[in-house]
Amino acid sequence: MIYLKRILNLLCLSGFEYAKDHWKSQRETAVILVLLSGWFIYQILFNLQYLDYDGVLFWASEPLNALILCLLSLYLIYHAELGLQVILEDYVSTLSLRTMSFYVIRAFRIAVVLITFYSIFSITVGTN
Amino acid sequence: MSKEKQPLSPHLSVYKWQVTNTLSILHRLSGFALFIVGFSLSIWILSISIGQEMFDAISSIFISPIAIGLWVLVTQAFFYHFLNGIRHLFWDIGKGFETRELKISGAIVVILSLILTALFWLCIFSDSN
Repeated sequence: MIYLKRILNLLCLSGFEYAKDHWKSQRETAVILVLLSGWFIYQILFNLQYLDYDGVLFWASEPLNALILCLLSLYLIYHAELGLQVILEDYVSTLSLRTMSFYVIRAFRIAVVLITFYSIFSITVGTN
Repeated sequence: MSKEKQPLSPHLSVYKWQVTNTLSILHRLSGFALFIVGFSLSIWILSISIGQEMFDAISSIFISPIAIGLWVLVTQAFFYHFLNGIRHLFWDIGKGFETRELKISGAIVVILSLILTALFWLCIFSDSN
Protein backbone atom coordinates (compact mmCIF):
# COMPACT_ATOMS: atom_id res chain seq x y z
CA MET A 1 0.00 0.00 0.00
CA ILE A 2 2.85 2.34 0.82
CA TYR A 3 4.16 1.93 -2.74
CA LEU A 4 0.74 2.67 -4.23
CA LYS A 5 0.56 5.82 -2.12
CA ARG A 6 4.01 6.94 -3.27
CA ILE A 7 3.10 6.35 -6.92
CA LEU A 8 -0.10 8.37 -6.52
CA ASN A 9 1.93 11.15 -4.87
CA LEU A 10 4.39 11.15 -7.76
CA LEU A 11 1.60 11.31 -10.34
CA CYS A 12 0.01 14.20 -8.47
CA LEU A 13 -3.12 12.12 -7.81
CA SER A 14 -3.21 12.68 -4.06
CA GLY A 15 -3.72 15.60 -1.71
CA PHE A 16 -1.10 17.71 0.02
CA GLU A 17 1.26 15.91 2.34
CA TYR A 18 1.73 17.00 5.93
CA ALA A 19 4.49 16.96 8.55
CA LYS A 20 6.18 13.54 8.67
CA ASP A 21 5.09 12.43 5.18
CA HIS A 22 6.15 15.75 3.69
CA TRP A 23 9.57 15.55 5.34
CA LYS A 24 10.17 11.96 4.23
CA SER A 25 8.96 12.63 0.67
CA GLN A 26 11.26 15.63 0.35
CA ARG A 27 14.29 13.52 1.30
CA GLU A 28 13.21 10.57 -0.84
CA THR A 29 12.73 12.72 -3.94
CA ALA A 30 16.06 14.45 -3.24
CA VAL A 31 17.97 11.16 -3.23
CA ILE A 32 16.21 9.97 -6.40
CA LEU A 33 16.88 13.33 -8.10
CA VAL A 34 20.60 13.05 -7.37
CA LEU A 35 20.58 10.01 -9.67
CA LEU A 36 18.11 11.30 -12.27
CA SER A 37 19.60 14.78 -12.67
CA GLY A 38 23.11 13.30 -12.70
CA TRP A 39 21.97 11.10 -15.58
CA PHE A 40 20.58 14.12 -17.45
CA ILE A 41 23.78 16.16 -17.02
CA TYR A 42 25.70 13.16 -18.36
CA GLN A 43 23.33 12.92 -21.35
CA ILE A 44 23.69 16.64 -22.13
CA LEU A 45 27.48 16.48 -22.06
CA PHE A 46 28.04 13.21 -23.90
CA ASN A 47 24.95 12.86 -26.12
CA LEU A 48 22.42 15.66 -26.46
CA GLN A 49 24.75 18.56 -27.26
CA TYR A 50 25.85 16.80 -30.48
CA LEU A 51 22.38 15.84 -31.73
CA ASP A 52 20.01 17.51 -34.21
CA TYR A 53 16.23 17.02 -34.11
CA ASP A 54 16.23 13.51 -35.58
CA GLY A 55 18.96 12.46 -33.20
CA VAL A 56 17.15 13.88 -30.17
CA LEU A 57 13.87 12.27 -31.30
CA PHE A 58 15.60 8.90 -31.67
CA TRP A 59 17.31 9.37 -28.30
CA ALA A 60 14.03 10.26 -26.56
CA SER A 61 12.13 7.37 -28.16
CA GLU A 62 14.53 4.78 -26.75
CA PRO A 63 12.36 3.13 -24.04
CA LEU A 64 14.93 3.48 -21.25
CA ASN A 65 15.66 7.14 -22.06
CA ALA A 66 11.93 7.92 -22.34
CA LEU A 67 11.28 6.27 -18.98
CA ILE A 68 14.09 8.08 -17.17
CA LEU A 69 13.21 11.41 -18.82
CA CYS A 70 9.60 10.98 -17.70
CA LEU A 71 10.67 10.11 -14.14
CA LEU A 72 13.07 13.07 -14.07
CA SER A 73 10.30 15.48 -15.04
CA LEU A 74 7.81 14.01 -12.55
CA TYR A 75 10.24 13.86 -9.61
CA LEU A 76 11.60 17.35 -10.39
CA ILE A 77 8.20 19.03 -10.18
CA TYR A 78 7.23 16.89 -7.16
CA HIS A 79 10.40 17.89 -5.28
CA ALA A 80 9.94 21.51 -6.34
CA GLU A 81 6.38 21.59 -5.01
CA LEU A 82 7.47 20.18 -1.65
CA GLY A 83 10.29 22.72 -1.41
CA LEU A 84 8.12 25.69 -2.37
CA GLN A 85 5.55 24.67 0.24
CA VAL A 86 8.22 24.88 2.95
CA ILE A 87 9.30 28.33 1.75
CA LEU A 88 5.68 29.56 1.65
CA GLU A 89 5.00 28.18 5.14
CA ASP A 90 7.95 30.20 6.42
CA TYR A 91 7.27 33.52 4.73
CA VAL A 92 3.53 33.75 4.09
CA SER A 93 1.76 34.08 7.43
CA THR A 94 -1.70 34.94 6.11
CA LEU A 95 -3.39 31.54 5.98
CA SER A 96 -5.82 32.27 3.14
CA LEU A 97 -2.99 33.58 0.98
CA ARG A 98 -0.82 30.61 1.84
CA THR A 99 -3.55 28.12 0.99
CA MET A 100 -4.23 29.87 -2.28
CA SER A 101 -0.55 29.81 -3.24
CA PHE A 102 -0.48 26.05 -2.52
CA TYR A 103 -3.26 25.56 -5.04
CA VAL A 104 -1.56 27.77 -7.64
CA ILE A 105 1.57 25.63 -7.40
CA ARG A 106 -0.54 22.47 -7.53
CA ALA A 107 -2.24 23.68 -10.73
CA PHE A 108 1.18 24.39 -12.22
CA ARG A 109 2.39 20.91 -11.25
CA ILE A 110 -0.68 19.24 -12.77
CA ALA A 111 0.06 21.09 -16.03
CA VAL A 112 3.68 19.85 -15.99
CA VAL A 113 2.58 16.25 -15.30
CA LEU A 114 0.07 16.35 -18.16
CA ILE A 115 2.58 17.90 -20.58
CA THR A 116 5.15 15.27 -19.62
CA PHE A 117 2.79 12.34 -20.17
CA TYR A 118 1.42 13.72 -23.43
CA SER A 119 4.93 14.37 -24.80
CA ILE A 120 6.54 11.11 -23.73
CA PHE A 121 3.52 9.17 -25.00
CA SER A 122 3.55 10.78 -28.44
CA ILE A 123 7.35 10.52 -28.72
CA THR A 124 7.49 6.80 -27.89
CA VAL A 125 4.28 5.65 -29.59
CA GLY A 126 4.46 8.08 -32.50
CA THR A 127 7.90 7.00 -33.70
CA ASN A 128 7.34 3.23 -33.53
CA MET B 1 -7.49 37.91 7.32
CA SER B 2 -6.67 35.20 9.82
CA LYS B 3 -3.06 34.91 10.87
CA GLU B 4 -1.61 31.74 12.24
CA LYS B 5 -0.53 31.92 15.88
CA GLN B 6 2.95 30.62 15.15
CA PRO B 7 5.67 33.24 14.71
CA LEU B 8 6.73 34.08 11.17
CA SER B 9 10.12 32.56 10.57
CA PRO B 10 12.92 32.98 9.74
CA HIS B 11 13.25 36.75 10.05
CA LEU B 12 15.99 37.38 7.56
CA SER B 13 16.69 40.89 8.81
CA VAL B 14 17.39 40.11 12.47
CA TYR B 15 20.21 37.62 12.01
CA LYS B 16 23.86 38.46 11.77
CA TRP B 17 24.96 37.31 8.33
CA GLN B 18 27.32 34.39 8.54
CA VAL B 19 28.38 31.39 6.47
CA THR B 20 25.63 29.05 7.66
CA ASN B 21 22.56 31.21 7.10
CA THR B 22 23.93 32.61 3.84
CA LEU B 23 24.33 29.11 2.42
CA SER B 24 20.89 28.20 3.72
CA ILE B 25 19.15 31.09 1.99
CA LEU B 26 21.16 30.37 -1.16
CA HIS B 27 19.80 26.83 -1.06
CA ARG B 28 16.26 28.22 -1.10
CA LEU B 29 17.02 30.81 -3.76
CA SER B 30 18.68 28.26 -6.04
CA GLY B 31 15.82 25.84 -5.44
CA PHE B 32 13.28 28.46 -6.41
CA ALA B 33 15.27 29.36 -9.53
CA LEU B 34 15.49 25.70 -10.51
CA PHE B 35 11.72 25.34 -10.09
CA ILE B 36 11.17 28.04 -12.70
CA VAL B 37 13.82 26.58 -14.99
CA GLY B 38 12.45 23.06 -14.51
CA PHE B 39 9.46 24.20 -16.52
CA SER B 40 11.74 24.68 -19.53
CA LEU B 41 12.51 20.96 -19.33
CA SER B 42 8.80 20.29 -19.94
CA ILE B 43 8.74 22.80 -22.80
CA TRP B 44 11.78 21.09 -24.32
CA ILE B 45 10.23 17.60 -24.05
CA LEU B 46 6.96 18.96 -25.48
CA SER B 47 8.81 20.52 -28.41
CA ILE B 48 10.40 17.14 -29.25
CA SER B 49 6.94 15.59 -29.45
CA ILE B 50 5.45 18.39 -31.57
CA GLY B 51 8.01 18.24 -34.37
CA GLN B 52 11.09 19.62 -36.05
CA GLU B 53 9.90 23.22 -36.52
CA MET B 54 8.87 23.68 -32.90
CA PHE B 55 12.02 21.93 -31.68
CA ASP B 56 14.27 24.17 -33.78
CA ALA B 57 12.38 27.29 -32.65
CA ILE B 58 12.69 26.33 -28.97
CA SER B 59 16.34 25.33 -29.45
CA SER B 60 17.23 28.66 -31.05
CA ILE B 61 15.69 30.49 -28.08
CA PHE B 62 17.54 28.20 -25.64
CA ILE B 63 20.94 28.82 -27.24
CA SER B 64 20.58 32.58 -27.80
CA PRO B 65 23.36 34.62 -26.10
CA ILE B 66 21.06 35.91 -23.33
CA ALA B 67 19.79 32.39 -22.66
CA ILE B 68 23.34 31.02 -22.53
CA GLY B 69 24.15 33.64 -19.89
CA LEU B 70 21.11 32.50 -17.90
CA TRP B 71 22.05 28.82 -18.34
CA VAL B 72 25.45 29.55 -16.80
CA LEU B 73 23.67 30.93 -13.71
CA VAL B 74 21.25 28.01 -13.82
CA THR B 75 24.00 25.39 -13.89
CA GLN B 76 25.72 27.18 -11.01
CA ALA B 77 22.43 27.13 -9.08
CA PHE B 78 21.93 23.48 -10.01
CA PHE B 79 25.36 22.27 -8.89
CA TYR B 80 25.09 24.33 -5.70
CA HIS B 81 21.63 22.98 -4.86
CA PHE B 82 22.76 19.45 -5.80
CA LEU B 83 25.83 19.50 -3.53
CA ASN B 84 24.22 21.44 -0.68
CA GLY B 85 21.29 19.02 -0.86
CA ILE B 86 23.71 16.15 -0.24
CA ARG B 87 25.05 18.19 2.71
CA HIS B 88 21.47 18.44 3.99
CA LEU B 89 21.06 14.66 3.65
CA PHE B 90 24.13 14.14 5.84
CA TRP B 91 22.58 16.40 8.47
CA ASP B 92 19.41 14.31 8.24
CA ILE B 93 21.34 11.22 9.32
CA GLY B 94 22.87 13.25 12.15
CA LYS B 95 26.34 13.93 10.78
CA GLY B 96 28.31 17.17 10.38
CA PHE B 97 26.71 19.47 12.94
CA GLU B 98 29.92 20.74 14.59
CA THR B 99 30.70 24.38 13.75
CA ARG B 100 34.04 23.41 12.24
CA GLU B 101 32.43 20.69 10.10
CA LEU B 102 29.68 23.09 8.98
CA LYS B 103 32.20 25.62 7.73
CA ILE B 104 34.36 23.02 6.00
CA SER B 105 31.43 21.27 4.29
CA GLY B 106 30.01 24.67 3.29
CA ALA B 107 33.31 25.70 1.73
CA ILE B 108 33.59 22.35 -0.08
CA VAL B 109 30.08 22.78 -1.51
CA VAL B 110 30.72 26.32 -2.76
CA ILE B 111 34.14 25.59 -4.28
CA LEU B 112 33.11 22.25 -5.80
CA SER B 113 29.98 23.78 -7.35
CA LEU B 114 32.11 26.49 -8.99
CA ILE B 115 34.52 23.86 -10.30
CA LEU B 116 31.72 21.64 -11.65
CA THR B 117 30.05 24.61 -13.37
CA ALA B 118 33.36 25.59 -14.98
CA LEU B 119 34.00 22.00 -16.10
CA PHE B 120 30.47 21.70 -17.51
CA TRP B 121 30.84 24.79 -19.70
CA LEU B 122 34.40 23.91 -20.65
CA CYS B 123 33.02 20.62 -21.91
CA ILE B 124 30.20 22.34 -23.84
CA PHE B 125 32.31 25.07 -25.44
CA SER B 126 35.34 22.95 -26.27
CA ASP B 127 33.19 20.38 -28.08
CA SER B 128 30.92 22.76 -29.96
CA ASN B 129 33.82 24.43 -31.78
